[in-house]
Parts: sequence; structure tokens; C-alpha cells
Amino acid sequence: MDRVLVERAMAGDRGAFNDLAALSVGRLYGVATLILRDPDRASDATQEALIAAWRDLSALRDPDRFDAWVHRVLVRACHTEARRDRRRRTVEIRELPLDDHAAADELPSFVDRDQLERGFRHLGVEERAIIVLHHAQGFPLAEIADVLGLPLGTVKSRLHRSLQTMRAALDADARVVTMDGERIA
Amino acid sequence: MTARHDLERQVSSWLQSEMSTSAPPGLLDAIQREVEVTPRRAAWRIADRWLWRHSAGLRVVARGVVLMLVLAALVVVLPLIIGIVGSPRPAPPFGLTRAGLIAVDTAEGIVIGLADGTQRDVLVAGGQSVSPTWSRDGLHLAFWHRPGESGPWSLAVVDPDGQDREVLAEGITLKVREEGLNQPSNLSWSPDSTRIAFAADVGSGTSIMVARLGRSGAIQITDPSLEAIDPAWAPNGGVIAFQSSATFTLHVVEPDGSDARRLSTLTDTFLWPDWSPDGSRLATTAGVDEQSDIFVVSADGSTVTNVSHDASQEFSPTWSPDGSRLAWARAPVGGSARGYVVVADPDGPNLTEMRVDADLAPPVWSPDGTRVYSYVQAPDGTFAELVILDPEGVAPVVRLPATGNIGNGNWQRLP
Repeated sequence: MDRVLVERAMAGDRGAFNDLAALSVGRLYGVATLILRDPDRASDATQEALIAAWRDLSALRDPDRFDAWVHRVLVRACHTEARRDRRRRTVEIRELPLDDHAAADELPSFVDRDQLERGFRHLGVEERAIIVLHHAQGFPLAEIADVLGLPLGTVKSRLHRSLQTMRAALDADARVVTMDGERIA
Repeated sequence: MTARHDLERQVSSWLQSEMSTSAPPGLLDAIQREVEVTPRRAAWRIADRWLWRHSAGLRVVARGVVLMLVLAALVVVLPLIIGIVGSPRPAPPFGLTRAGLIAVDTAEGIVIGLADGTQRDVLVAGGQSVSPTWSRDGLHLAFWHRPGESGPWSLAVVDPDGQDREVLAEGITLKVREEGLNQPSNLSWSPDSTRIAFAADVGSGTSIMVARLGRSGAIQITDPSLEAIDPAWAPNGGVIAFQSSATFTLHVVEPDGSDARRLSTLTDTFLWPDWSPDGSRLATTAGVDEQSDIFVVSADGSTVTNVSHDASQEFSPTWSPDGSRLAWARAPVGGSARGYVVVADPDGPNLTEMRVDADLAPPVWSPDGTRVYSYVQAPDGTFAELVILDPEGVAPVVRLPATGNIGNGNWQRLP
């Protein structure tokens, strides 16, 4: 992120902050979408985060840490958004006809994504944020600890536990029940 | 590569494929407009100014203290909470459990199969068989059968492997629920899976009847003048709810026919009611201003809540096995005949409308709560198929080919 822009924004220059927002809004929205799994909520969280970032920019001491700091504000906004009552939504569902050979070939990838999605939804916002920042954004764990205000050991253990939770959910989903009660993997 | 690294690789790949890199149109403009009117806060007023960085240890200590205080409060308050507002978890055969076979009636007969299309089998062939209904313990399948296309029906029960077929009642005249649907009133098993309630034409009207496994015949438990249909046996076994198609009101009666009474003041009710798994509430359909909405009625009838409030025609609510959600069918007003499935939190505003390219009929929950199925009827009413939906609207729809007039059906509960 451009240090000069950050310094100007910290000094109260709205135009500079708007430039920073333009540079970061796409990435922040992408992160929020991954964490919240809902585009409408992600949009609200991103808007809330960037407005809060402008309002509280005086709290930032080191301009070089703007990117990590704004991610921290975003994760907090995701927390708030996740706690809100869900609103009405309409889902146009993807279809997978079993008699369509082309679609049937895609079955494993659909199933994998579905299972990953289900496993991911078992996690809380903070656990999702750790996984997204590490595995989608490439943040080192030490930086995630900084972003979330947690000790490094806590971040490591939460990442490990989150993956265990996902694995348990995937394993549970992978079990197919037969009529006589046997399970096949 | 270890399993853990394999999962991490899968997760990374999946997240990166799902990652959006551009914000929706208008978002940046909205942010910039808001920034223009948002004042800055003084640094001393911002907690992060004091806590940001080097404060993780302090936060952990603070969280520990708060946690200890909360635990201490819980030790004192928990027994009171349990005593006052605690309610027992739904006992088997209610609550979440493993999903077994789907049973539906088709032109081939009673067809069973898993939700992925495998293990498909025609369990009962020959004659006409409709309304397959699994017992709460998943060990029996009840259905109506007759040898030809007309004449009286027999109530029969068969094991999941098609063996040990038993006829409980014969010579039954069924009341068709709605003209043109060829769909009789539903069967309802008692919670202990030993008895079945159904509606039959007794000459002077339609009554709720109760048959018992291992015995022949059934007892009549309601006044025929009520024109009772669509029984729903309460989870505690104490009462059977039903609709009166004479007065379009909701009633309950004890299984021996005693203490029959109207349940609530709700009017213009139709189609079948469904008990929540804990037996505290009933969901039902009722007319509102020439449309219909979904209502939740307390077990004692004292409270009635409209949970849908939509201009569409909405009908046939069913509770998820854990009682946390309701699913129902929605047909938009004035548009095409397309019907949708709605999944909603009955106590809150959470609502998902699932649209697929099909005319969806009343949904049925899987016993594990991860899927609902509905069925699709072509405009000419001669072809139908099952659609398996994810109630969270995430997984793709799976359509299972089927033929015939699919009507009632449900999903086997496995222990």
C-alpha cells in the first residue's frame, strides 16, 4: 500500500483515503465474502470496515501497517455482520442432472466443494478469518496474530483446530449410509 | 503427502477459486459518499490506540478473568435456568438422525432409493399403491393399496426389504384431498411406531381412524360431521391433530377418541398440520385475503403466529428434524405455475427461497436435516421427478428421474 497515501489519509485527507479505499475494496470484499459466505453481508461488512477505518484512522501508529490494520477492522466488521439477523435471500440453485454425462463428470468437484463449504460453515468467524487470511491471502501466521490481536500460539492452535473441525465434518459427510445400517466410505 | 497437508492444499485451492477480486458495482461509491460525511474520531477515544499491538497478553488475561466470572455465574444460575426454561431434547424417534431410503409412489408402484439415486428398487408392484409412509423407527413402511384403478383400498405395512407384508384394514374408501391431485389424506404413525392414524370415508362423512400393527381393523375416533382429514400424531403420543374439511379449522383428539376439541381460533386452515419435534407447536396452512400463509400454533392453541407474511400462495409447512427450521412450498401469485421451496427460521427473519426450474411441491426433510426433497409435476400431470435440495442453498440440486403420479412420500429414519 502506498505509504504516502496512508500518511495523507492519516492527516485527514479524504481524497487520499478514497484512493486507498479504491485500491483495497476489491480485496477486502473478497476476504469478507469468503469469511461470511454471503455476498450481501460481505458487501455490508466491507462498507462498514472502510468507513470505520476512515473514522478511526488516528488509531494507526505505523503507516506501513495499514494493510494489516484494515484487515483487522474488516474481521471485526465480519463479526458484527455475522451476529446480525439474517435477512431474506433468494438462491438460484445450481442443478446437477444425474442423467447428463457431462455434468456427471463434474460430480466429484461439486461434491468436494460442497463438502468443503459444509466443513467451513462449521467454523466461527474468527476461525474462518484465520484460514482465509492464511490460505487465501497468504498472510504469515505472525501477521495474522497481529491482525487479530491474538498470541501467535493461539493462532497456530486455532488454525490446527479449525482444520481438524473441517476434517471431521468432511469425514462425517463422506459416510454414506446403506439400508442395513452399514457405512461405506 | 500427509492427510493434513492434503486438506490444506484442498482448502487453499477451493478458497482461491471462490475468491472474488472485484467489489460489486456501487459499493466503492457508497463508501466514498459515506466517508465524505463521516467525521474522524480523536485518537484518545479509540480503544485500538491503547490496545493495538503488544496487548495480546493483556487481552488474554482479561478474557480469562471474564471467562472465570461467567463460569462462576453459570454455576449459580444454571440450575435455575434449567428448572425454569429448560426443555428436554427431542427424544427418539424425533430429532436428528441418519437418513435412510426415500419412499415415493409412482406408476411402477412404491419405489425406494437413496438420495443420490442409488439402491433404487420397486418395493411394492402391481395394482395401485400410494402414500408410502415410514414408521418413526424406520422399520416399517405403510401405504394404501388396491388391486385395480378403482374400488376400496387396503392399509398395508411392509418391511424395508419388502418382506412381511401385513394388511391392517380393508374396504377403506379414501377421501381425495384435492380434486385432480389424486392424493389421499396422509397417514400418520404414532411415536412408538405401533399405530397408524388415517382419514376414511365412513358414509356419513370422513373420520380419523386408528389401526394397530398386528391387528386387523381400525377404530373410528372422530365425529363424521367434522369431515376430518390429515391426521398428525403428536410427538408425545397424547393427541392427534387434524383438519376439519367441513369448517376449515384445526382440531385435536386423543387416540381413543376422547376429548376432541378445536385447537385454536385460526380459521380457513387447509392441508396437513405438522408437529414440531418437541411437540410444543404445530405448523399449518391458512388462508389470508385470498392467499395462504404459514402459521405456527402453540400446542395448547393459545398463540398463533404468521411466519411467512408473503403475497404468494404458501402451503404445507414441515419442521426440520431438530425443530430449528420450517420448509414449505411457495407459488407466486399471478405468475407462471412455478413453485419454490422456502426454508425459514420460524422464530426469526431468516428465510431462504430456493428456486429451481421446476414446479416444486411440498418439501420433505431428510432425517439428518441436510437435505429436503420435493417433487416436480409436468404441466400435463403425467410426468414427475424428485429434486433433492440443500436447505442452505449451497449444494447443487440433484434431480432423480421418476415416472407416474408422485404424491405423498417420505424419508426413512435410521437409528
